[in-house]
Amino acid sequence: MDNDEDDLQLKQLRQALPLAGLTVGELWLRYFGIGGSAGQFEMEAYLHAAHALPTLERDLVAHAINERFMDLDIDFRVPYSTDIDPGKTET
Amino acid sequence: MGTPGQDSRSPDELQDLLLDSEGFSDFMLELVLIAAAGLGSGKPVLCSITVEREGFPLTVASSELDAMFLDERQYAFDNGPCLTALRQQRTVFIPELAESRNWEDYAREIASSGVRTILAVPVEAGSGTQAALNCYSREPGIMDATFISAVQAFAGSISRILRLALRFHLPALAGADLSSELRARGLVDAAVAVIMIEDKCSRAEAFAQLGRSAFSGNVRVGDRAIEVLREARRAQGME
Repeated sequence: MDNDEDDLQLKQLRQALPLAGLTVGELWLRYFGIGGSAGQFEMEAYLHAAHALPTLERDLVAHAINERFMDLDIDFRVPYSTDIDPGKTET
Repeated sequence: MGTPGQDSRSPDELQDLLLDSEGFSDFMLELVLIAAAGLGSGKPVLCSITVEREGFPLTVASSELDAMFLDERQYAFDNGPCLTALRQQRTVFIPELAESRNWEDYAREIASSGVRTILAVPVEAGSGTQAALNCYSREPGIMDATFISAVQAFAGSISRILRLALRFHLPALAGADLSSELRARGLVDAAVAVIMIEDKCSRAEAFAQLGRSAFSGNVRVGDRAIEVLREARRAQGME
């Protein structure tokens, strides 16, 4: 990961996963459904902090979980990179 | 939700499944045409998609009946701009049909249609199949260099979707119920194509725009995609 903000997003994502009740495979399917372009293996490696994803792809993983929270009526949202640092340009 | 297997799926494999799934083909084709119809930036441009398999050309989709007629006159001659684009896999652009020496017979044949400018762009459609995206305009000057590159970019972006849409008789998606994700993905891809055309931007920029508006609005990406497609339909007078 290139900086602390990215770390924070990943940390919250990992905390949210059990709360969302999704397996990594299920999360990946949802991420693919909303337009994600990384493979399941890459996304899994990202969750283990072993692989970096571009900003938009990271936000899509976060959004896939957030859509699950919308389904479950849970108010919690994983933050987006743009929330954390709005000045940051697309990687 | 489907039960995820042990294997790691790639987006390409899943998108191929999407293309194979029953009933999806017509739906996607319709979306593609909505996007194609948006190419004229307000000015009327007729669009169609010709597919040729084993030497038999067929208009698989057209924005208006006129476009189908214009295609079919070429099939009758077994020659014409869209057949040339398709068979030689190159862009054919005729800025002023009346002044073109290569297409005199065809020009005479379709004179009553009032069409003056024709653009035909090949679409990669898989082995054994050739396809082209055709645009016809009655007003000269609409198809400038920007228009041509937008159509070419669009033809590139619909290649995969078209390949999927063409597999009409394949069995329904077997096993796991992936249909909701696949359907969502199809909508997202179609909406991205519409944004690319409307904003004349790259696929990455269009997708970033769609994603960010869903993130900031706390809405589903699929719902935003549906809104984009509805707006495009409305703008085209289809709703």
